[in-house]
Amino acid sequence: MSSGFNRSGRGKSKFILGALVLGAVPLVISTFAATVTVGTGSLEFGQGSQQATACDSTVYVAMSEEWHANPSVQDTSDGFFRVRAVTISNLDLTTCAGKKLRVRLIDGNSAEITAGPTADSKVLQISLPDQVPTSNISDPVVLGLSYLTGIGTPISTPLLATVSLSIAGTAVYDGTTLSPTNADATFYLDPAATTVNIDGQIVRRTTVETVNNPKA
Amino acid sequence: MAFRNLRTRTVVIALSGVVALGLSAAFADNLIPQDSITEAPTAPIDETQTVVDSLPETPTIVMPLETQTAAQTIGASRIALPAPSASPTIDETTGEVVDTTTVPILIDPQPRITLHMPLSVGVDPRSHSYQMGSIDFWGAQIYLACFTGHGVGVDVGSVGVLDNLAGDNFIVEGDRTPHLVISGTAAAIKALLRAQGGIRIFTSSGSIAGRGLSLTLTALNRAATDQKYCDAAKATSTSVFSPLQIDLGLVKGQGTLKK
Repeated sequence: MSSGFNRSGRGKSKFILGALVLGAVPLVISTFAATVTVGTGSLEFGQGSQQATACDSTVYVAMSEEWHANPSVQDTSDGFFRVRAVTISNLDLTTCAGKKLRVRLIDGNSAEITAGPTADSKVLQISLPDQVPTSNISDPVVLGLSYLTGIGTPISTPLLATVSLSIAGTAVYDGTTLSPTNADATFYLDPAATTVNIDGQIVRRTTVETVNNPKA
Repeated sequence: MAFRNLRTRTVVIALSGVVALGLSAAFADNLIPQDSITEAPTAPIDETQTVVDSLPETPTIVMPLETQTAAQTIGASRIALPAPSASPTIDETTGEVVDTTTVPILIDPQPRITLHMPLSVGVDPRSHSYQMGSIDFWGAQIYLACFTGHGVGVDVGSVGVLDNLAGDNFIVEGDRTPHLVISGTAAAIKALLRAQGGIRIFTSSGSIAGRGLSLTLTALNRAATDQKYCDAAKATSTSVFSPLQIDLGLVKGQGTLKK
């Protein structure tokens, strides 16, 4: 069975290819715009829910949600499902050792969602251990948990978030057994749910980045 | 002589009267019991007879079918609300007093149940499973929770393990299938749903994105897993697993930026 599309020859193919290239340009521009302003040092970058980081091309993302009561005068049972945590799964800590791992949440308008106590807290970052850990780590100081602005500037503000880097137990993403080459990094945005309460319905995209300037 | 005969007769009559009176008193003592003797044994006899009289009535109580099912469920699990009993009865074989209930399993009409479940859940478009710990509900004490997977299975408890079991406070059936039912107290069900981070929704093949999960909650007086009670639910919700946007996946090589 044939169609007009198949018979159209190279002309249409070139046209479609051209359209695709043009369509991709804004994405590439925004990507490079982000990279230029990240800071000093060498940068590795992965973006989109189809995650790709330079040190590990097969990481996955899982968001967990929980009910957040927000009673109103009209409805005392009102509320929403807040983003409780974001987990980067299947992380290879041998190839990603010593790198910084960043997570951000993007809404339907491609705007970064505030993930910390200040309006400019758009990124959560940890430093992956230089040496492959032998047990789970949940100390935010050891992992260097911090907030960054959208362009990567560190923010000095009290931490509301917590983090855990797990190499033992069950993976959040698929329930497999964790290991140093199949680790989970979980960012809990605000365990007390006092300040950072992001409606899970507005999150349309997550980004994961690794940065290769741990000492910078 | 006549006078003498008269005096003899009078004496005889008088003696006869005395004898007659004595005999009458003796008969009277035998015929009329004394009060202290008649009252003492009467009371305990009467009490014993009251219990004995009730025994033959026990087997004559006929319970409706649903009530019998309730009694069996109570026997199988200890999940039950305090319920008024019709009357205490005595088991013929053991002689023990047994409370039989007449309360049906289904609460009718159903109370107002609040069920919170996200309408849309953002998932990695490549994922084959999702760990869901975001279900919350209240409004009753004992529930039947019926999960129906639309292209997905539901795994509760240990991951990858069939956890069809009955505990003190819950019953689980259909683990790791698209039709999971859990019945029990609200606390027990919530504990199960949140154990190990939540229930795991999974597909046998393909991405979980675009698939869904429905949950109905039915308020019951007793734990039960009969499908007909699922159909009686008034609280129902469905979550759809939406893929997070697929955007540009880009890996850049290292490059030094200008300071």
